Amino acid sequence: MKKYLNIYRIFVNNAFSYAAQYRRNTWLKLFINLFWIAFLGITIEVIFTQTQTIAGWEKHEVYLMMILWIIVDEIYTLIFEGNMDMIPHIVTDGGLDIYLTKPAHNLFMVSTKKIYIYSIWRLITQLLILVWLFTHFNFTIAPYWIPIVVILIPAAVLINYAGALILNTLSFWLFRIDNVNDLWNVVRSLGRYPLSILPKTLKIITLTAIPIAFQAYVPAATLTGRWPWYGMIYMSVFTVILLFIAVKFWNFAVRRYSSASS
Amino acid sequence: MMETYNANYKWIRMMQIMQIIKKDNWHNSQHSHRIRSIRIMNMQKYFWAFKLSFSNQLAYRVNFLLGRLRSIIVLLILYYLWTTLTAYTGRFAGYTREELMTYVFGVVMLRAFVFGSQSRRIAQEINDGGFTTYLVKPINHFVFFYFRELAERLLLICSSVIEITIVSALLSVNFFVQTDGIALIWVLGAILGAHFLYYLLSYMVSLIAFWSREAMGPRFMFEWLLEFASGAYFPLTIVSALFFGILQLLPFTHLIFTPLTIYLEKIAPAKIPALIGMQMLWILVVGMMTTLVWKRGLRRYSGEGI
Repeated sequence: MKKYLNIYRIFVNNAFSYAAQYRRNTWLKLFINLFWIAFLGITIEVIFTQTQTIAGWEKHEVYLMMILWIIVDEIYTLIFEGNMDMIPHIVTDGGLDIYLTKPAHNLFMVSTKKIYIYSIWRLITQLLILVWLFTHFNFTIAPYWIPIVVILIPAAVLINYAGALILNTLSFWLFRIDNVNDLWNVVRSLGRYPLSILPKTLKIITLTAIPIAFQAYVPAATLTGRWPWYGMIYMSVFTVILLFIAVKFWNFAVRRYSSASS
Repeated sequence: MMETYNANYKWIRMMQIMQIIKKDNWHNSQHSHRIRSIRIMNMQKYFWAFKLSFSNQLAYRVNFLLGRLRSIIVLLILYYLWTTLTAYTGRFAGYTREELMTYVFGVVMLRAFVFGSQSRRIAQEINDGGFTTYLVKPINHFVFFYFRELAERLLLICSSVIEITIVSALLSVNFFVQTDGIALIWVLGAILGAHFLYYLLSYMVSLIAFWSREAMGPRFMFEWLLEFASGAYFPLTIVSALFFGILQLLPFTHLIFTPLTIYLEKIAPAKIPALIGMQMLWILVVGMMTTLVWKRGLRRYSGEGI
């Protein structure tokens, strides 16, 4: 465990060194992110000029769901996204070889090497927006919300990671499938909407086979009292199972990997 | 892969022939015949670029299919969202459900034909020095990339027609059908105008890379602004009159909103020529700006990374 912590510390240091070289890039990314959040906000405002609710969700609840989705997405971007995006490339061009020769588990190395430091600043900004949202819309903050958020947000990040890992592992058989990450991002973006808009079958799919409801819908539904308490237990168990499947699938794929280059 | 290799080989062979022709004596009896040959070759190289781009798109079929699956999911999200919003009254912001569905599915189809991704490569190539190879080739960079883009667009529009047909059949979607021939001609003109206008805008934004290594950031912002202001998310008449007025001053509304507004008869027929005229004017203005940016940018280009 200590070995892995040391390796991760080195990755974090490298990421900070890299980010220090491109400071302007960090500011630019922060600005772009704010611009994007503003666009999402304008879209919500525009829709709510014509209606009072979307599938029973009021404006402030839709805002809450949106910001939770953005926060989960940002944490995922910070820790995993850069690593998941490169899997099809390293599998196709043989770059995975180098990870297999390291004295640490290849999945750990592949999943954690790249850390997007600029996401930290964006995350801080998004948390400030969340605080503003609570004060502006007079949300009632019950004490049990804190443990809920502490459990649900990391679980949502891990579900995103497991989903991305399973899809990217397919590149061992299908090779260059860069679009799989675009696809996963778009599928995940569905979780920004109140999933009550979907028919029952699709809703069940989003809670099982394509688990996108967990990123924002379930946390927001829990916080607004639409989701029962045992839903949290379901989400926690689901996270563990999905993660287990993703790791097993990766290990299975690595066993049948024959290098492309060396 | 074999197709791509063959196309590459033919491209190199063609370049060699071009060089031989150039070096040859232009003042012999075959003069006019050779000029004709060169003219044909001049166009042929762009067709080869078109063909190569087409082959590249299909080289990784699973990747292509995943891209299309992504498009279907976007379509489904929008379908269910707008269905929910029109569930009680059958209308939303002055649009009937049929009109909204036509708008949503129309956006998906127009996205395929209007919004391209090939010109993103321009910024990348300027930054990594790959752009230099175009300067030593006997090609027009703007036309070359346009043909690349066109191949991708045609492939995607065919694919989106199939997707829309399947999805609308499965969900039993009712559309607004335009039967007026003249209106349809105007719509076709507006779509072609949108296609050229987007390419010019996109090409111009990519040329920022001549001045900054961080051209991708402004490009992403440009794409969001463009999608929002073009009406790709919702009909622009939903926003307040003031905001709509501001958006109309920009060229982006002519990319998606204008063709679909004409199709849905949301504008008086007498006003259509003025609207199309405005689109043409924007094409002219953006075209001139692109030429200017290109000339200035070339002067700054240092071929970094050669």
